[in-house]
Amino acid sequence: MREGYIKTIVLTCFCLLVMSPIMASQLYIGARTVDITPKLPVAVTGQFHLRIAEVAETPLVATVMVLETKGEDGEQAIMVSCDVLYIPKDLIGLVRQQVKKQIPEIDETKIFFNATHTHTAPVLALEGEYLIPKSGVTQVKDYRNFFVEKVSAAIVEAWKERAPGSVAWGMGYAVAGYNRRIVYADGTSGMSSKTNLREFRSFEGSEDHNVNTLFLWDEKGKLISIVVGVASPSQEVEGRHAVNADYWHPVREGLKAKYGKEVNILGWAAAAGDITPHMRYRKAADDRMRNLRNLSRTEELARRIILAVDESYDAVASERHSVLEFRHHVEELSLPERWVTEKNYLEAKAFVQNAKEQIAEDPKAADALYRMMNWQERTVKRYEKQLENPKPLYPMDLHVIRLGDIAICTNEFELFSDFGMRIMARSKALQTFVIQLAGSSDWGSYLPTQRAVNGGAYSAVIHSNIVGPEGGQVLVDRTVELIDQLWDKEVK
Amino acid sequence: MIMEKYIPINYQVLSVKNKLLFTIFFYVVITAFQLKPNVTFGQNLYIGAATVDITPKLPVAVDGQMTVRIAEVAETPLTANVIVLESRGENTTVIVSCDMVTVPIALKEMIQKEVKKSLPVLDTKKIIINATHTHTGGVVRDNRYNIPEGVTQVKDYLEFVSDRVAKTIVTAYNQREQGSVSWGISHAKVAYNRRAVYEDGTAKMYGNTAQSNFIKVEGYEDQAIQSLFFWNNKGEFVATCINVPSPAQIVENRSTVNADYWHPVREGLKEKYGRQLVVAGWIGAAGDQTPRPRYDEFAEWRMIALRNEKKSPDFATHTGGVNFRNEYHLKEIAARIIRAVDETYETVKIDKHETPIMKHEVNNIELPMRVVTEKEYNHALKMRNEDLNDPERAQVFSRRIVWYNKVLDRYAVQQSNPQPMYPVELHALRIGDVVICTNPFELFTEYGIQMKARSKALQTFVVQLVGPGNYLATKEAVAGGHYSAIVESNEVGPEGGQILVNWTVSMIDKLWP
Repeated sequence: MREGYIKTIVLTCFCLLVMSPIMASQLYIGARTVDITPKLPVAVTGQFHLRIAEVAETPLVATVMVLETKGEDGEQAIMVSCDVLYIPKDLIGLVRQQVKKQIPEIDETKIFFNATHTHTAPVLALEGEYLIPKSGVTQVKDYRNFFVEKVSAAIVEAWKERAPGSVAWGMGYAVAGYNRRIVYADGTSGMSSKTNLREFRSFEGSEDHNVNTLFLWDEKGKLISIVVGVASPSQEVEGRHAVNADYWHPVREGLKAKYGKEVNILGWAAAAGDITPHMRYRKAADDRMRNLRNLSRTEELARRIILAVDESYDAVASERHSVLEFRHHVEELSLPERWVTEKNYLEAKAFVQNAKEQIAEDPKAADALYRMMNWQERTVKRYEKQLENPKPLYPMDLHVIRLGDIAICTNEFELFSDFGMRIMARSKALQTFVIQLAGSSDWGSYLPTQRAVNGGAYSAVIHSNIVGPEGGQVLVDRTVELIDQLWDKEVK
Repeated sequence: MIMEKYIPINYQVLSVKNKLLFTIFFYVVITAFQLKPNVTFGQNLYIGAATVDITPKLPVAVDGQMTVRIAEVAETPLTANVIVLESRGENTTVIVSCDMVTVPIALKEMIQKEVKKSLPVLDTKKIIINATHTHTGGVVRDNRYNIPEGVTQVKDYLEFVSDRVAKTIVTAYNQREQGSVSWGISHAKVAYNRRAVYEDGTAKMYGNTAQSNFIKVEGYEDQAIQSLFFWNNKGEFVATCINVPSPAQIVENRSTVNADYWHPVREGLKEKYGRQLVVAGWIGAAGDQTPRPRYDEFAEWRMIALRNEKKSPDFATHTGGVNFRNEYHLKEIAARIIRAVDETYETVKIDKHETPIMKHEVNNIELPMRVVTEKEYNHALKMRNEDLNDPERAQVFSRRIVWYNKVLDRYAVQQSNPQPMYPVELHALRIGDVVICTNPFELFTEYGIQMKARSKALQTFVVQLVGPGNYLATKEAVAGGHYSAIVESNEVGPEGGQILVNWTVSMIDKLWP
């Protein structure tokens, strides 16, 4: 009898626990934008060859958004969008450390970064990318110190100034990204290769033209932050020997002109590993329209994105949420690494050997070869590691957030668009903001689909991928599972 | 002071020399232009445009689904929109866009015959008639549905349409006047790929994307909205052609007459640019597209609802899918298209062309038909008999019986002719820097992209359903299977699709010598 009561009580408690609602709480918001333009000249990253920028065509910025709910069920998230190609994990660690030192109550694991993937921003990896001249050019370690100092200060300021506010979410569309993987009649693929060929058959994957938006206001109704999620990397001017925030600069300027110069704008690149802002066909038609409008290509992309943001704002501005459900789950997700075959190993090893010889013969050859050599040397090292550990796993920081009706989820890759679509289609959230390049093990890594691996070419070859399609599916499944859990509870 | 040396001038000699030099210069320039292959001179452009109501007499059977649907109500008018273009003394082309599901060959021929009677000078082969693919237009395909008595019959509707359209072509032709044209491109999210692919490699049209084995949408989505704008000699905006790579079938399941999204597009544009405006709707290669979202449905629906009701629908209590077959979504899609057209118009109105090169090629070719396998034959036979042997189903699914019967007929033909061919008529029309190329299919988008990518034109308008229509699927779609990529849906397969692309590109090439 007594045992029966106990069982009933335990079962009731368990049910109540499971069914307990996620409590809606007042949202606190803090925001800051900080200039992270490097001292010139500086080496910019994103291409295989070394480029030294003598000029900053636009400023580079880091934009911070702090979200918090208080009390027993309180939660926090600190999001930092940066005009950089990638964010090395060790650099993220340094910022977290610095912030923690100044504000011990912050849960530093809930700080996450994302890179807009501009190819005209400084090198951030401590070693291995380029042989940067030792003098006359900003050194990587110096820029990293500058970055840590500036960004951690911005986070601290945003945190200290957080105050009650409200948020609304919306969705528009803009054609700002084009699939860059071209499939040919023989089943092979090319990255950014020609489409005006008889052998051209199709684009390899999909394009996501949704522009997800968040608008955040302070208690007085002043718009303080806008988040814009675009499934296209900001690399329209990727080849330049200059510092440039790419299309995010005119996006920010255009939005500030309309919504106030103090508004903080976070650019989130959604899953876009196989996407480019460059036209892959009918370029002449697009160029004509742009020229008739007297706009540069980055300005044209910005025009489209701003239209989408405006349209969303007009629809959702009257539907603000100040008391809402807010949860932030962080975990280290182990993803199976892509298997390096013996053939991959031997080819990479031969390339590395050859490159070393060329550089030894002519040190100037390093400008073109050094990064590619190290890129392939990583494959050699992975193979050697595999001999000791035949099932290597890549540890990825995964953030999944519920904010009212929307979900935000991160990954560390240049994630092919189809994976993002799988997450969005299966998600229980009203809208799912996928953020790619939220931390990288070194210079970033593509995560391709099986079709891409079969088709080959840069971005889907072994050197481009630490994690392959199998790991991609693990990432999708776990992300969806976590989102589901955030929606499984009854919402009060 | 130094005196300038006086030099006597023989004006007569100079005059002769000047004339000689001018003559040589003139001939050199002319010869150079003649030798230069890419230079062609356009003639003055003459434009005539008119719209005609082709709403059928009610009640009427509506075309596009497997079941018989009888419409008692016309929610919007159906129209045919006619634009006559003449490059003075060289070419005359007639563009006709119709609110209907497809354009049967019989209807085209009836229109050509009627026009010829009134305009013997007009080359009626150069009439391009396309369907917007509304699934709520009168039945135009004979012997497909069991249409009851008391309901407008197909023959009567075809006669009605052909008579009205032919008269309107004549009117537009007679009213043509000198004008100008421009072209442009913008974007609107109207095309959503409707084929979902799953882990096991199978595909499904309108398949669930929220299930755990969903891998991707099968093919590309083309969000380009291309437009042609025509002005008369007074500078009045008189006609436009709008190319949208997504079929007009938002309210496809209704038992009513409805022009689908083209109605609010036309009304919206006329409201802005004047009632005189003739709007020809062209559907791009869109065999695998739908105008309804395939994922993030509730998010899209919320934005639409917010714009109409200023309030979000309740997401917390929502379960299941979202029904986009409603007026709000029609209005939304129309608004997106109108916005794209507006911004294109605003941009290109300063770049009008009065003497564009105009060339129109019409080719009749044959494409290899998709071969019916024995297994496919047996399946079709079984399915046909199941419908046929049940009197109720035989009535409701009369169209489906015809659908299976065609497979059986094809298989029978194959016994004596193992590779039958499918005749198609293709148009390639160059206007200035752009080209319009047509096909009779519900052409999967990837084929259209191939044409656009390989085309020599600045812009390539691909217009599908200039003809009787059936799906032309990609190799990947055929491998994935399901409706729109199975043998019942495809008279021509991927092999024929590639020939179609190559042929179209070669037709375009010839227009840019």
